[in-house]
Amino acid sequence: MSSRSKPVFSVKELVKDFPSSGGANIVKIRALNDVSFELFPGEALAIVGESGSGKSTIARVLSLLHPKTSGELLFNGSEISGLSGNEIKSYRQKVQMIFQDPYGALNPVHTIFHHLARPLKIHKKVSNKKELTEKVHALLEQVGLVPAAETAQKFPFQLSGGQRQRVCIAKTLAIGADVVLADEPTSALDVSIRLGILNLMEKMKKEQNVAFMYITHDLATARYFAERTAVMYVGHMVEWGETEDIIKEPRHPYTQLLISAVPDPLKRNKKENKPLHAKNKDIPIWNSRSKGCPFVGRCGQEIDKCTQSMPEITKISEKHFVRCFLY
Amino acid sequence: MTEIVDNTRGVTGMTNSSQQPLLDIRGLSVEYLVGDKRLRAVDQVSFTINKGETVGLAGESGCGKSTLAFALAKLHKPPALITEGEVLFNGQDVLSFDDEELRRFRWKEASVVFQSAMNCLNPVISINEQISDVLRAHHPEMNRNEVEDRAREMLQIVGIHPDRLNQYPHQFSGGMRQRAVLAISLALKPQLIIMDEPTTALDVVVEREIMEQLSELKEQFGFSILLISHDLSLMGEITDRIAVMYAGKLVEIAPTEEVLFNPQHPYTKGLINSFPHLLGEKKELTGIAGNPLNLYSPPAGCYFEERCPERVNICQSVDPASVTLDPKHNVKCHLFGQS
Repeated sequence: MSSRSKPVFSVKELVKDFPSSGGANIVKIRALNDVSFELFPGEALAIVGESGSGKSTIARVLSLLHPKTSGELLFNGSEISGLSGNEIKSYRQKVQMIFQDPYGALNPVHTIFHHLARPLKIHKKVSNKKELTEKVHALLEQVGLVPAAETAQKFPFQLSGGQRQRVCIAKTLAIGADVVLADEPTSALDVSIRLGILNLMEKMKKEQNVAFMYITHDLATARYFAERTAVMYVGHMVEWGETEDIIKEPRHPYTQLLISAVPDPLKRNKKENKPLHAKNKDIPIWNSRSKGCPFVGRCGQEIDKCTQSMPEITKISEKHFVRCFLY
Repeated sequence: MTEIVDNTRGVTGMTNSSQQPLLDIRGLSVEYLVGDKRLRAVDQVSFTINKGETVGLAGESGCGKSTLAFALAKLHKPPALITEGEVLFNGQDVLSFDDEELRRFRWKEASVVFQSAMNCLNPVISINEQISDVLRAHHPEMNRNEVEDRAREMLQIVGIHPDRLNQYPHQFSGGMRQRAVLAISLALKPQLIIMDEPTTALDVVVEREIMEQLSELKEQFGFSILLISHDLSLMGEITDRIAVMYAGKLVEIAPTEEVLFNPQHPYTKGLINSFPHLLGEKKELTGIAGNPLNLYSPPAGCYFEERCPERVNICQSVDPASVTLDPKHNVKCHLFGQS
């Protein structure tokens, strides 16, 4: 399906540096290095990795919260950095974010109605007050917050975490976003509530053809929700492909380590599934002068050239790619 | 791992049934005083932990798991109040201990590792000082060199190089800080370690390393663990039995395999059905409809009735009693009331 349609996002060789403290001549921290991927309508791409691997930075660069350092960011075929104020406004109408912490994402002194009415007014989606109220109520019903009229009058503190996350999702629906960048949308929520949010996003994906970038550290939910998965390590995308392939046949040593570490009751009593051990536990700090593969210090299978340069992309199968000299 | 536990039982010459449990919790209730109301956070919870056993305590946030952990070591502070019940540790009631007895009990007999334990370390005191502090408080007879040697040994045990003994918490990564806290909790060789979400803040790879370390240490020292977590996947791998709590009540307790693959209580079923699996068949999951119970106005009947897909008439009016399905499997649900 996705291979036939055109990508909404096409990111090529994206690099993002952050200045480190200590003046202009200090080497910069490289949060993203040579990251390329495509995002298709009606599809979820999971970005998985440890904390500090640059997952959230991708979302922040894509939502223009941080300027990129170099590389190409194409949205529906045209470059997004350097847009004018008005263009940014219309871009943000199409690309929305959902954050990890629904407690911090809503203004505590405003009602839910206010939160949903604001994007509708700013992006001129409604023409009069009656229409506004109807639209807000329809949105609340869409995300399962019923009775809608009652919920609209509530303040954020009167809602649970899961309900608040639903309000955040309703906000992205309000202006009809084509792309949702969801940064750990379920990790702050209770386990029994998590599924509701994932299923709601699944519905948006199927019914409204919304493209999702699902940033998570939880591979099991990535498998549940996302068709494709990309694995990040210290700002590098080391392996990507269909989620099932990544989980069943991980190729990159880091992906193998990550997958062996995920707890799963089905692994119980399977002692031969002894998790792989990381040789050296220190995760490197990448800067613009670093070279080689970032995983070399923890990899058990490194060869000489691993310290010299980052491996090029190797195609394992039609949709499965890895950056490792072993392949 | 279970086999090794059984071995230690064999060594002590006790069979499973006649063995005195290490920790016996009997009808424990903890209430919070909120305004002029009493909010029952832990409601008549009873279960036991045997020597060398790992028991998991699962449930959503706000179900009273952490409150229970605090109460077990009598660490709760007002407005929390223990209103009923007994906590027997080796036959002695912990709740009746005076301050001095408690001081001896805590850390030496049972230690507690709290949620985000890595933030429990004092940022301005070296790791050495923080481990030594425990040793000096409980073993005043140890001299300086002995204390330092022991602190080094503890760090080595949890997999941190002893050369880092005199460093400060900010020089440690999150995983190392968690290990350091584990070292402190093990310093006096306690018989029971209560762990409240010990690895929730850590990455999976680090979580896995720490959990493996813990299993190895358990085999070495033979202590019991009460592991409190919302993560059933993690529990499934390392526990012997799992207890499930909902809104302050213990709704089901059974051996891990039973809970994971043959759950009986509708809440446990829902909880199991909320976890996508990494392995096995990929299927649509439903989770649990509705929201967790508001304890301000508890219903007369079963607390889970509102969200329960299998409710019957009686659920609304009568709170079910705990039913023993087989000697190791208890469920608190009307669906099993008749038998």
